Amino acid sequence: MPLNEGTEGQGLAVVQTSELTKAFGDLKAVDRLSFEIPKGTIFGLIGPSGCGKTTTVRLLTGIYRPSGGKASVLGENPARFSRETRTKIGYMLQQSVLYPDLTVWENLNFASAIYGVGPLRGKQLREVLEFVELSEHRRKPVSKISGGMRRRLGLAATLAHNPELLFLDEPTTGVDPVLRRKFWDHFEALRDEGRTLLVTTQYVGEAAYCDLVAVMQQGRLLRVDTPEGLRCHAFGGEIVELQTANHLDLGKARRLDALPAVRQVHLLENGRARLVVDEASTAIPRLVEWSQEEELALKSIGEYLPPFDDVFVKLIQGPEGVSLG
Amino acid sequence: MARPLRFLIRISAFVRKEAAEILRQPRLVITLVLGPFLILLLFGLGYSAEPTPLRTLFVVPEDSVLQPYLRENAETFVQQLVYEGMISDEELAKARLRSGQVDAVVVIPDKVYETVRSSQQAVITIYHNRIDPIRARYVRAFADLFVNQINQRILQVFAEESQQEASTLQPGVRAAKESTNSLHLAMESDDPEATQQHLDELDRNLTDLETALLASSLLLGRLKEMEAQDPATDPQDPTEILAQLRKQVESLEERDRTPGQEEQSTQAVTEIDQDLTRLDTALEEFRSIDSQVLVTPFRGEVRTVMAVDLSLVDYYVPGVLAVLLQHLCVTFGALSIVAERRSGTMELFQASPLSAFEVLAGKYLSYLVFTALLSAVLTGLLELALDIPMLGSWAHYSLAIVALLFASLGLGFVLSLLAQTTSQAVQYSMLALLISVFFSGFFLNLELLRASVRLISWAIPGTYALQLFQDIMLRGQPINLFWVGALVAIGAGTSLVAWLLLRRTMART
Repeated sequence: MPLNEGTEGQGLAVVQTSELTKAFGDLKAVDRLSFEIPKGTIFGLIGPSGCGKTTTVRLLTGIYRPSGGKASVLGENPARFSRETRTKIGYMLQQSVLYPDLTVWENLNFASAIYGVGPLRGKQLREVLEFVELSEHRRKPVSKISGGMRRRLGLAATLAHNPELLFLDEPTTGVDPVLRRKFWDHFEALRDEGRTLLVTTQYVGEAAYCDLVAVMQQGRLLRVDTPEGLRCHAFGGEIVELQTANHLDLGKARRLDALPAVRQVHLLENGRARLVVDEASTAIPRLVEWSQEEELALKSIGEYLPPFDDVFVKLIQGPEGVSLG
Repeated sequence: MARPLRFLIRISAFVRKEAAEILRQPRLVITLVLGPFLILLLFGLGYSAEPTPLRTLFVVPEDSVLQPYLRENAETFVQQLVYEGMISDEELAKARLRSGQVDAVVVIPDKVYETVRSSQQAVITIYHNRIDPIRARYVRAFADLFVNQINQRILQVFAEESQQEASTLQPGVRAAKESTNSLHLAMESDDPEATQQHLDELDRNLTDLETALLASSLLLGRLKEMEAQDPATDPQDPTEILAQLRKQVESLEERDRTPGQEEQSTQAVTEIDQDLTRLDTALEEFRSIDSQVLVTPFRGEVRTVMAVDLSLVDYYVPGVLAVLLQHLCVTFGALSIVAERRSGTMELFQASPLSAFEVLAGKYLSYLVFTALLSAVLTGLLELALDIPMLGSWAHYSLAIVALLFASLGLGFVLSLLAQTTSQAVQYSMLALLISVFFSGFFLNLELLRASVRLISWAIPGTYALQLFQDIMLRGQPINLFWVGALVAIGAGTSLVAWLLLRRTMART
């Protein structure tokens, strides 16, 4: 299922927003969002429920008109999408919008036909079903398949017209962890085919699968960065965890803190410490040297990747948020 | 791919989707086809055109001479009357009526003779216990019929008595004839004294006949007067014959006083004899006329100019078809778009290249095809099972069906776009059905509605369809293009409104 020829090269912004705002009365659901989504990336939009993710997607799919600011999707203003541009976009809604009395195949057929895919679409649809591993269930009515299958069919319906830009609104909500992982495998495969994906999710941990992540809270964009960039930003740098055979006392901790590569030291029990450094790869050799100078028996040392839940809380709550301990 | 082709693909997506959704529900299809058919079949089999019997209790004064007469003859008065007995206590009779033991109580008044003598009608009161205005009217009609029958029976008795009296006139006619013969002989023997004596005798005989015939001939005489403004002389009318006799006797008396007119006088006596013979024959004829014919000389007979005699079921089939098909289409239309909106697919459509026109056209086409097939199957079943009449053209009938479906679907789509929830859509559809039942002419004739209310009728597709179906099926008339045009106009108008509403729904906000 390769993407149509003629798509632009990776790196160009497929989606651009500038001060994009949507207000419902006095409530600003989306407040001055500015970001870019380069072509061929998975762009994660992460935030708690009600933070404005779905509103952002609706603004970018042209369902909502912005109250302020600008957006450009595939080079067009979403509020005035041409039909041609709409056929290049796939939209998977938060809730399942399949017809329960129709079979898997009939649902897929309908989804492709409303995008004007020609009558010789059988091969393309079979490929899509194969991609989401539903081929053997094609004749089953949707009412008879599981919730997970429905979500996969929803994704297949979004892909049925071979779009180059996908807006997936919480595609993994309510899906078990194994299937969630599978979904992200599918997303990565789609990204590798050259498609661009904007995926919203409440599962902060899924940020790790994205190429770029935008963190939203109360309609505002807190930060857009790579997953690693977000971690660094949240904790003020990369984190190295070391453990020594001896006890690390305050004197040693102060000397550790005084090292040029180290920004912060968090002492833990059993001779463990987490250090915020500029760059883990350059800091680790220097720390090994320091432990030898201090005659400390180093049991382990390596980069520590805090869970994204902690990163997210840290980003939202600021320095007072989650501590490295 | 060319734009028109994409347009067709998008529309066909809905046609296939809706068809599959409907066919995937066999129970729904069976209910839609068999439901209306069974309703009509049950109606056809279950409806009885026989008048509803009325269990009737009579309240008659104890000393009334009508008691035995009513006891024996009451059930012959009116077909639906079931004689339930006779009592003299009116309150007891009313109590039995209230408790549902009888359907009507007929109270015969006391002192009928005195009432009539005082130039007033005696009132026969008929009580009923119906709350249904239509049934109450039925009882009123029954009461009118009953009282007419009573009056007629009384007149019949008078007529019979009159005929009886006519039989007693015949000896008088014979006496007059004898007097005539004697007169003739006296005149031939030129005996003025005897002539005068027999002439006087004949005069008396005629006076007796005139007096006796007066009552008997009244009925026929009045009837004859009703026939023409200037009635021609009827040679068989006893009154006229008698009048002629009177003139002849008077002229004979005149001539008798004038000498030299003997020949004319003899001729007059011969004519008097012939007239008396005619009078005898006329009286015999009068006696032989049925007394009921005398008092009710007219009998109504209703005939239709229609090619077939229609049963009540035949009459209702076009109306039921019109209302049912309209209801099916309105319900389909009303549920279709609200269902998309409730399930969230409308948001998907908003993000897709679909236009409001394509969504509506797709749905229109699919439901039009489906309901047309449904109509065909339903009509076929009705034709086979109930043998409904089809005096007109099947092609015209089909055209009327398509026009009805087009208009009703449009109405359904408008309701669907006005409804916020599925239950609201169902309620709107039921309201549309109720409005159709009451205002389309199905239940009550349109002529019974005030002109201002009739405006509602003309906004309902079923009203036009009912007229079209009745004209085509029952009258065998060609299709009325004005009614079809009205349905197409309603369809076009509602489609336009539906399109505008759907455009607003699908508009980017």
